[in-house]
Amino acid sequence: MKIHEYRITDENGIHARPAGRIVQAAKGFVSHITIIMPQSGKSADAKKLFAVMGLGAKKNDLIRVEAEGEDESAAVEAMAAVLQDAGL
Amino acid sequence: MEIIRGTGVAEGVVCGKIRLIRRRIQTQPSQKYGGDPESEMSAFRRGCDVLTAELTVLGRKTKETAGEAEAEIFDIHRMMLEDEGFTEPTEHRIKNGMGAQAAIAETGRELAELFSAMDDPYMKAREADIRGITERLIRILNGTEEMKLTFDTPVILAAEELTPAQTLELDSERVLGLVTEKGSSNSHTAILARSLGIPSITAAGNLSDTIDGREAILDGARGILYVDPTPEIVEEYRNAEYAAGKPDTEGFMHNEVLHTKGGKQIRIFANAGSLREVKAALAAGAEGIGLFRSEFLFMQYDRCPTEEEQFQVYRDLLQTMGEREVTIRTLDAGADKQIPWLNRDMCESNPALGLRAVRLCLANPRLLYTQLRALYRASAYGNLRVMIPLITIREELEQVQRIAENVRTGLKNDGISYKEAMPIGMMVETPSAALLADKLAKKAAFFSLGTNDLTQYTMAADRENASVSYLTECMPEAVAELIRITAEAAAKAGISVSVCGELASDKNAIPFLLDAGITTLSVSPGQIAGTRKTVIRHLSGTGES
Repeated sequence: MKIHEYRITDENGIHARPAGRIVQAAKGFVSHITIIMPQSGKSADAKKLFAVMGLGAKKNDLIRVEAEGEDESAAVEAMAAVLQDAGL
Repeated sequence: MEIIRGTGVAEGVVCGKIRLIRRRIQTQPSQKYGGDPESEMSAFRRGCDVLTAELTVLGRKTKETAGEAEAEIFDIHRMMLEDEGFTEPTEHRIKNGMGAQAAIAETGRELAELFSAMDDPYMKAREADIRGITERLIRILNGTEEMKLTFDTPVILAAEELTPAQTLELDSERVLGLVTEKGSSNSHTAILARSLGIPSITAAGNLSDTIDGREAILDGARGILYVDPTPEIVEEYRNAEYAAGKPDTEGFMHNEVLHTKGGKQIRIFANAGSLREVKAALAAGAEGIGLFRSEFLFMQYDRCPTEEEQFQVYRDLLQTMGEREVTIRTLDAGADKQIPWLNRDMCESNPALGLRAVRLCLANPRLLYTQLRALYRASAYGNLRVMIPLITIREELEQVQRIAENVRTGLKNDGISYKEAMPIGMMVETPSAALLADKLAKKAAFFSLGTNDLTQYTMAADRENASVSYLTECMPEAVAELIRITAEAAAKAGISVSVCGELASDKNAIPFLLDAGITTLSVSPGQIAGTRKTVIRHLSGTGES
């Protein structure tokens, strides 16, 4: 399993557009990718839009991306890049 | 081979694959249970496919016109629709016997609650997104949502009937021909099909689902659709095509100025509803635009287009036409031309006799003020006239003129240039206006006869209703009388009078119109050459009849 931690800096948190990008990126991997919010204990399948949006991640929240599977390293790297690119 | 007969409403022969669109995807209506899970499941998936295709097209169009950021919301909506968080619970409900529509509504409610429970105002607002797409999906399933007419390859389009909004979207490059179950030669669909030059048949009766996807030849003049035509039929049409060529209209395209024996100039103008049609009109030899329907502009938006948005369209239009005269009609909405964001809660039992056209504008003076301001600003860029639809009594015209005066004062104060003398005229399309033409001619800068509505209101017959079309087809005597009264009043007052309805291109009506003193005929771009031909024949005394 590969893990990447990230703190949200965007004023709006993970809103619809970045959530869409996260899901699109996650769907490109076979690994199971989960987004976890350690503070609240909430987690979401990164390939499911409603689940990711449902996290309600806001500015200053810490999120942890966990990927497990054949392409877990690439998956975590891609997710990190998406979070960065989306200005989160 | 299967032969389908209807009323030919736009001439021309085309050959292609039929694409049948149904407004209704069969599904259990609002019933919760009791449906057949298998057919409900397939209805759900077809509905999703339809909406996904729409969203894809909308996204692409928005990206082209507004930019990538604006278009992204359509991608999000598409992802929501395809997301397992939506499809899984919905399919689960359908498998357990719930009707597709009820299942979509339940899942939608659940997801909307998820968002509304979130304390983030942005996320709360996503509730509207999920409600929007589920409601839209349900409307697609129960047939209240309009199908978008977007095709990847050229087709012969077959449908029950098209709504005005749909006809506006018709793309003459993708729709080779059109056949509808209902309608008449005066219906909006027929008028638009003629103007776009799309060979069409209406009133073809019930079309079987089995014609979808089959090859066909459509003959718009004879009103016949040959499904899976025999080689003999194909050959016959091929020979006819070679024999006929297009000699009927060629040679009448040139811009020779036409005069009556008395020396009056006769002008052939075009009706148009978009910049694309205006360009087609110019190419076909239009001497001006006698009717530009501004509705299309209002139908494109989900809100009122701003003064600036309107101004740009009007200015582009005037610049395209150069010195030529352009008559723009103010918003003619209501009745059969509903604009979703306007008067959405209005429920009228008889909309054709209700709050429509200028009545609707006077009830929303802000709307008219904005449009007139945009028009006045554009007037500096060409030869513009503004035309008010459906004036029934003098007071309506006076009210419009007061608003126009306020607009001019405002522009003057803002130091914005415009033409002070831009003519404001009116359409004569109610018997009342025709009978009061003497008095109205003192107030209006010009008249234009809208013969379609004038016919409908005079004959008390709906032009979309095929079963009473015997009352409205050709030129009824009473309508001819009203035209005569109007032309006389115009001549007396020294104002111009044109005809912009379907009669203007009717070869049986043209001699009467010219003799009555009509000097401008405004017709669909596709009818310009034919109209010119009829006019020349009549003026030179070699009329066919």
